[in-house]
Amino acid sequence: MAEHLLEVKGLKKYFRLGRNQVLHAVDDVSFYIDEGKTFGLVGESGCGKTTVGRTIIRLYDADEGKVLFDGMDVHKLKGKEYKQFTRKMQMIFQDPYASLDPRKTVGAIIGEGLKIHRLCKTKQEYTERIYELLEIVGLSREHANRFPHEFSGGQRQRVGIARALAVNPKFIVCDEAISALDVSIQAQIINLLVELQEKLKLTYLFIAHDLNVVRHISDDTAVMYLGQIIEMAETNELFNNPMHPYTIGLLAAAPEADPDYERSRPHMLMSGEVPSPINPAPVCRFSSRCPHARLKCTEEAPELKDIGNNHYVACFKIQEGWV
Amino acid sequence: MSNIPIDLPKDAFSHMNAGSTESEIITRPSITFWADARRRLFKNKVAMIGLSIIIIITMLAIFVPIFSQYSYTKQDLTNTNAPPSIEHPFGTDSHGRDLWVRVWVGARVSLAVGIFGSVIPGIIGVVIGGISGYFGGKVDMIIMRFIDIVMCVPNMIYIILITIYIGTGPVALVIAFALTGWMGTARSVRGMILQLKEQEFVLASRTLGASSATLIFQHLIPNTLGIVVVSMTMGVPAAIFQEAFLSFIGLGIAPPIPSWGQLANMGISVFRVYPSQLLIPAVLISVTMLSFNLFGDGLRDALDPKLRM
Amino acid sequence: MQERILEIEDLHFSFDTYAGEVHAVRGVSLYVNKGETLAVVGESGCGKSVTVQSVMKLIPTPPGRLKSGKIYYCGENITHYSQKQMQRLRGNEMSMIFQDPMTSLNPTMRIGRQIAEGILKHEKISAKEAKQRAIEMLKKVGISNPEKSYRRYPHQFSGGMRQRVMIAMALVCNPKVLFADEPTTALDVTTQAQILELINELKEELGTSVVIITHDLGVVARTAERIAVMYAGKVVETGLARDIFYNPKHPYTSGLLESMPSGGETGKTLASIPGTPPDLFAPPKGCAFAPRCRYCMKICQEMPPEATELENGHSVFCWLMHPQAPKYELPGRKSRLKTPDLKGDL
Repeated sequence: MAEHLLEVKGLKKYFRLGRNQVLHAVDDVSFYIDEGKTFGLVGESGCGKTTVGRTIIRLYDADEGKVLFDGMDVHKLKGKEYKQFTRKMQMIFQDPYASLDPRKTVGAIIGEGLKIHRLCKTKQEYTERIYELLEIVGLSREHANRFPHEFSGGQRQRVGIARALAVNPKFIVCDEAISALDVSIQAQIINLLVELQEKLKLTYLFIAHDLNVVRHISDDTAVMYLGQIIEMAETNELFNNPMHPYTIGLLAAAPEADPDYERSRPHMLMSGEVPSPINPAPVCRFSSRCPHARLKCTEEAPELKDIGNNHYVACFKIQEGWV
Repeated sequence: MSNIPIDLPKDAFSHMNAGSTESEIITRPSITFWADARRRLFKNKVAMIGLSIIIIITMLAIFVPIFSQYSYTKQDLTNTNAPPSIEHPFGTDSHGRDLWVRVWVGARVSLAVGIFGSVIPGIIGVVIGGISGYFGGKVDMIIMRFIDIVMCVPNMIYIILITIYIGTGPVALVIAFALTGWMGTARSVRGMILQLKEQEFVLASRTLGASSATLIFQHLIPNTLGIVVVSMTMGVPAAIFQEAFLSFIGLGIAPPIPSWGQLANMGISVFRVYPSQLLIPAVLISVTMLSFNLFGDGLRDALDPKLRM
Repeated sequence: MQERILEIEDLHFSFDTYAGEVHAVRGVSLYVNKGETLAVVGESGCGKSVTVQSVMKLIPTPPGRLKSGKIYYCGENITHYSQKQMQRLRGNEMSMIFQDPMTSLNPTMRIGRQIAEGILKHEKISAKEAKQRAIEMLKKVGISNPEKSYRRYPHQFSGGMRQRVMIAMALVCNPKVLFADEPTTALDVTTQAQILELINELKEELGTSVVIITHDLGVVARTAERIAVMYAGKVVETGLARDIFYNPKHPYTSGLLESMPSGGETGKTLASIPGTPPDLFAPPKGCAFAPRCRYCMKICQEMPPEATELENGHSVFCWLMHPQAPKYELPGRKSRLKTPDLKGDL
């Protein structure tokens, strides 16, 4: 038995766009997740968080680095072993509209995994299992014969969850699983995910851009910027004591449902926008927007280092104690 | 407090346990993708007119030669180039053969060549385009470059060369069309597959461990089917026209088997004297092509997911 | 009494589809005061965008159909204005920005020209002056190097910059109302903060009224002075931002506020609203929220509630407000500030 359920070591994923143009989607990312925990991965669009999730579940091949799941090197699995792996790790997708095949009934969508892995011996067992899954995610039996377009976004997302649960996975990658949903529905789905985690002993990699949601659901959180983790800690530690200038800016930018507070706090706006991830220079990638950047930041890249309390930061200012 | 009626019965304010499940009930009538498409197609009058004409022509092509007392080869040299009459609704040709029967036997040939000449290359195109799009990389590159090169030369030249090589006749024509007509479909199918491949529902199937065959036949092809069906429907008139053209210039269907193009070819020699012998097949070719095009248009609108409500 | 720029009275708007009529807006009354920010909040499909688009007459008929109601702009009844009459108002008196700026900009035209043409449509000035005004406006919305940017195409800008261009285009003729339909939903948090700040600043500077349509309560808290909460084609509660956030009176508003995870708490279960909104194809005869409401009473399923007016323009459409109804304390948000800053604008 491995030490951690999932361990990502020095993961790199590049996309070649053309001659001499390489998009560094994920650039040397390492972290681990213990069984039964939820690991939150936050960042703005284009920071590579989705690519991390997809590379872990092997929708993409890694360019460098390893993903160890249950002690197995995910990217080296073949044939039967790989098929076994697909039962253990599943994914919930962002877009409840695009993630369900429009030509199939909800029952057939949920049953796909059951068929692929031949988990049901009889036709009746198969139908019963689909009904059971529908009920687990809060839908009813009658929904099995309906088509995806007849459902609302939240209901579709429940179908997506049922599809993932069909094969009894241990680990689920939730890729922006709630960001396309309405607020009241988001809460339902979050509660459902938490409830399922307790009931089925699941482990989550929770990818999202909404800081409040990640704060609510994760045990540990990592913040990504341009393909790299720039800060990582236990969730409360990270949110109560953010260190990296980017994390601080991100927290300040996220609006809260509290008009008095919103109106009284100064809005430290981070200037500029995220630079291009194509052929980035080997420097601190946040230096172009950082208010504390010094010459060193534009010459070298800081490494992600533990500054105590299991709080990892990749910033020279913090590591060297600049004032 | 404004406007609220005060005199309400007391139990009006008794607590009701609103079941949350109640609001999960879907109130709209259930309608599948194909049912919805069919509904929209049936509502399209122009397409329905097109379809009716196609059905009428097909019926005539099937039944007229069966029930007619004349055969399409039987000559009656005592009654050549007769004008349309009750006995011979379209008249007779220069060999005294009944044109009514010949036209509908010709319709069989033209329609068969049109339909098979569009569907077979369509299927080849789907398979090759699907492979190209799904596997990508080198396979895709080789197939696409091959298509690019082959498409530099007009189709008609290939068809003429092929018919010269394997001879004339309906089967030869369909083979010629099959060998040359798949490329357009292959290209568009490849494009669609490339797009679909990145859709989350396909990714979801991949994470479930689905094999390539499952992905292609369960998810990718069914989702391209609508567009493929439309392009095949639109391909039918094109194939009919090509057949007519080739037969007209003497390369397609050889006598004595009639086809519309070949009948028109026969008619042209006597056009000045007996114009009906050219006009009848010409009008039929036009009407059939128009009907298929109108129907294809309607089909495209009906299958367009953007128009769904 | 403040000057009312826009007033909507009992608006009903439907869409005719194959399956029948979808009652998208079912009796909405709203008003916008001069220089204020009104937030229309609700979940997707609640009719918030349709309300605004029907005011702007942006929905083609069919399938859309304005069934009844009145719309007043600066005291003038514009309910039955023709498209031609509306063209005079749109862009000049009222303008709109959308969620996805890429779809509302012409991709083949330089952005400067697009802005300048907007001015020339409404004002009789020379092309040169229009260009000058456009460049000024680009500068105002924080586009660096406006002269150069004037000659660029939309695809050469990032999402945030495009939204800035849209704002420039919308405000260049000094409209009295700006409708912002989910203006930051497609943007990242940091860019969103910049855009919201920009809208706030320009509103102060130009005195424009802003109607911001959003589902994000955080965005509402940051920008709005007044809020209208919509559910299933109706306004269920409206009032000043503080009243709505800290003292909601409608169970839906309360549930919505509660279902947002907030900064401080780490509790594992969120208070959520069960179920899904009703299909407006067959709206319920009573209160539309009743099937999901934990306080639901018998009357709620029978009759739609009417407005109950509280102080400060706070009005609630809920049977719980009825004198005979049982009283509950509905949870709202708690301010993080210990001594709330009670400035008049809130």
